Amino acid sequence: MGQRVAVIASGQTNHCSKRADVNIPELIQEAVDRALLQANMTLDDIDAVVIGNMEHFEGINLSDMWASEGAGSVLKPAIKIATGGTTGASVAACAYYHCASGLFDTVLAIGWEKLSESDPTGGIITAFDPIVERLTLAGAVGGLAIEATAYMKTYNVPEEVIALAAVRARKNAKNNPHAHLKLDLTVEQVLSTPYIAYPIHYLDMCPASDGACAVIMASEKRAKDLTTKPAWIDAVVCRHNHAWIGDIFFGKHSTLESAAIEAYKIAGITDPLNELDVIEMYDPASYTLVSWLEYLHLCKLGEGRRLVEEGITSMEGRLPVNPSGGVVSTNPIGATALIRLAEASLQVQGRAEMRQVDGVRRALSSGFGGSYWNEVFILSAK
Amino acid sequence: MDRVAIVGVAQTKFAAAKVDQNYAEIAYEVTQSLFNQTGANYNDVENIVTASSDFWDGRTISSMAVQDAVGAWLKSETKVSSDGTLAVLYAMMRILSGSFGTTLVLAHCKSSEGDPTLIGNAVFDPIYQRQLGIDLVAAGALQARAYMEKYNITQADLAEVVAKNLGNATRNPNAQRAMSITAQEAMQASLVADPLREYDIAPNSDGACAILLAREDLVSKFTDKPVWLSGVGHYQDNYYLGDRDLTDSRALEKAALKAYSMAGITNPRKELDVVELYDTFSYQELLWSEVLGLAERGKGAELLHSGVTKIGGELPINPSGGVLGAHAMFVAGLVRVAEAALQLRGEAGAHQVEGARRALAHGTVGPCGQTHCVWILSKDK
Amino acid sequence: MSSQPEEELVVYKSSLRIPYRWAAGLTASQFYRRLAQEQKLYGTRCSKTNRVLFPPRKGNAQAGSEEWVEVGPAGTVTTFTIVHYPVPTLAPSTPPIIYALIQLDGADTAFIHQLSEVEIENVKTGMRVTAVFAEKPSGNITDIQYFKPL
Repeated sequence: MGQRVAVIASGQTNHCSKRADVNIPELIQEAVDRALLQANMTLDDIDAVVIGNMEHFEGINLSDMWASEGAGSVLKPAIKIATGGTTGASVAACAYYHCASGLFDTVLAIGWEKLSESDPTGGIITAFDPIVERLTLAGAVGGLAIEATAYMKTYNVPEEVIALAAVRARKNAKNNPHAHLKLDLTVEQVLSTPYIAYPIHYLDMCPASDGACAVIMASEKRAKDLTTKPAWIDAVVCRHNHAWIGDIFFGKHSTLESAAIEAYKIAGITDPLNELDVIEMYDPASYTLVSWLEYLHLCKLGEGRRLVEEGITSMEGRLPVNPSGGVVSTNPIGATALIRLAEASLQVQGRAEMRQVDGVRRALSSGFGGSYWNEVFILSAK
Repeated sequence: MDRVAIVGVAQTKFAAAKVDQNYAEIAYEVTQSLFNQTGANYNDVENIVTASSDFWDGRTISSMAVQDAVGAWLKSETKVSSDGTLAVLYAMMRILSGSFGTTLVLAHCKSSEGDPTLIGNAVFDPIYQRQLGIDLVAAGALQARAYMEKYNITQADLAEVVAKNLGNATRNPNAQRAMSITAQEAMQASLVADPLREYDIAPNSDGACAILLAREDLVSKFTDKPVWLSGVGHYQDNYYLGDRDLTDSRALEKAALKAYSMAGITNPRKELDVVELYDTFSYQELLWSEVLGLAERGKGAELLHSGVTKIGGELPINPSGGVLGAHAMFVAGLVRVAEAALQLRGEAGAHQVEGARRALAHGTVGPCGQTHCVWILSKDK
Repeated sequence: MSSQPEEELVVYKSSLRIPYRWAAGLTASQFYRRLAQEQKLYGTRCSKTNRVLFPPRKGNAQAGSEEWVEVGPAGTVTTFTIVHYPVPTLAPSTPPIIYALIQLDGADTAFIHQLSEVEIENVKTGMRVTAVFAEKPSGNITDIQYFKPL
């Protein structure tokens, strides 16, 4: 019943605010080439392709058709998945199920976005119902700001703690050759930047990036032939709830918690703080690096600040979060959630170079988007 | 390998503009119908795969509109941004993985809410093609002429497809465009994109379709008439029309061969009882029937004229009226699967093909059929 | 399902206003620059298959390196259509509009463009055509204004 699946290799472009030197298929090609190189494979070795982005961001309809020029999917089985901010994770899940089903042995998962080519907020706003919601919502940051406000007020968490998380994440990015923003900052500097939407300061928020990520997965049958260091995917959980932003309980992030609980159950994890060695969490804004740790059951509600203030989630701490710099450092939306999985797999494989955490055996990655949708993946070395 | 079956299907009536229902409502209509038919409830649906287009819906994350209606609350739901036949494949893979026992597949689209010509033009890349203003209908016309000139197919041949399918549609209460029309009458319709006339081109439709898949051991809970997923293949072709031979389709050929192989079919013309293929344009029924191996290359029209593919013939093609009868983007392929399932369940009413045991359902997406997915469904395990 | 009379149903009209600025990339940029400066068309030869692709594609690990090859400006129509509806993205756009797949001399692939300066009844598959360049190139495919009979 079902094959085990592992990540074999991955590749990313060097994410930045604008890649004028490549068009969409060419950008995708770069990430695919890098993944194949790391895997020591050719396109002939790939059985199927899964690809995704958020179409309105580049205004390309049926984007997987043009993208085929760079995705290596010509005359291959290919499917497009698109679920908004969670796209990268949904793409990864689809690739996982291709292999787990036993129907395909090696699958190339691709997430990409060229946010420089349009207005991201203009694109995001179309996610909301045009008759009731769209006119009153301010893109992604509005919804996040509401949650941040509720969180900080409920648990008396000062801005300084949030800013500290931002400082750490941005510094981590300096170790990541693919990261978009690599900044050395102080808490004061973060707090001195204007609010985009209270309480989110400019430097608390993720950027808009151009970039692509490709991940090669294989079923158990092939994985051991293809690499000595497979990163096994132990759990894949999706929770896409809510048609309406107004239905969300800000203060209780049900989808992330529900996904995490299910993922831990499948992976046999009862004490995530001690059983996980690294986390690549989808952090669209820095407050999530404090608050969402609670939904991952790393601590009780309201205690996320302790994990940050005591350095538990820093690079030197017991459970580093986002050694890659996370989403606040890099955000090519269609790729972003897939990058979390790629980074987590690199950690498990011991391939994360300067951002490597020592002795990683188990990792968690998450994806976020839409009206508070989430995915959680658990990866392990065995 | 476990077997997976379709245990229920539901579709809305397709119409040019369903002004009285929004996306959630058409999704809810088919989900409720499925639940009523199968006795399933929220807890029986273990995960969900939806299919819809951000462009046709004018809405990023187009699946967000139907989350409540499909019962996605605290469940694993995901969206295929492509034809419904591919959503069925993904839904099946999720069951075969061992993670889920049942999957609800739902596709929705309201073509009336956008401008199809503009939306179709957006498929063409803005670097080398879009500014020409070409849209999907004009692209189809380019393929039509290439195919017709290669094999001496005439507009009258195309009109016979129109007459057959729109006539079939009169027996299908869900079809949008249904009329008793002769080939001669079809040829009086105005030229839209030469050589294609009005009825050679599928209408733009609003509607939704849902099917419920179950793993073998769960099937009897929902139905005593399961329709087994016996074989599937899907492939993508080159993007630029000029890179391809438009009179053939390597992607469809590979998809069909894979599906046939999985299902143990060596002579599709004889072993299939009914075919629901994706005819966005009349000539595509002829072209796809050749690539599917139901006729030799260039002999699709001969097959049509022989009467084999009409209801009552040896191998009816599109007894539902096909896509020429209703075309809601990404939904139409799922409808082909649903219609094929109805045939095998003996529930196709006035357009029933008697004694059908094996069916082929086909979906395609992308300019001139760039990506294809072929399904073989069986009444017998 | 509602049975309201149509005038009671709300239909909210709007449009998406999202500005786009698409990067053509180095390869297509080079193509358009040469078109503007030299009034010549170039394809790229793929070193692996030895085929000359038009429009030009960037070389890569799978296709091999790219080599620029002059093609056209004349070519052959491999298929065409006459569109009888106004095309919303074209200015001006008065039907009939003729689209064709044209295989430029020297290229192994065809590409989509428009035909003009020709009577509808004289358009035939296999006819020879040549490019008419736009007076003021702006870096997109309409820098070739259309193709006319050779």
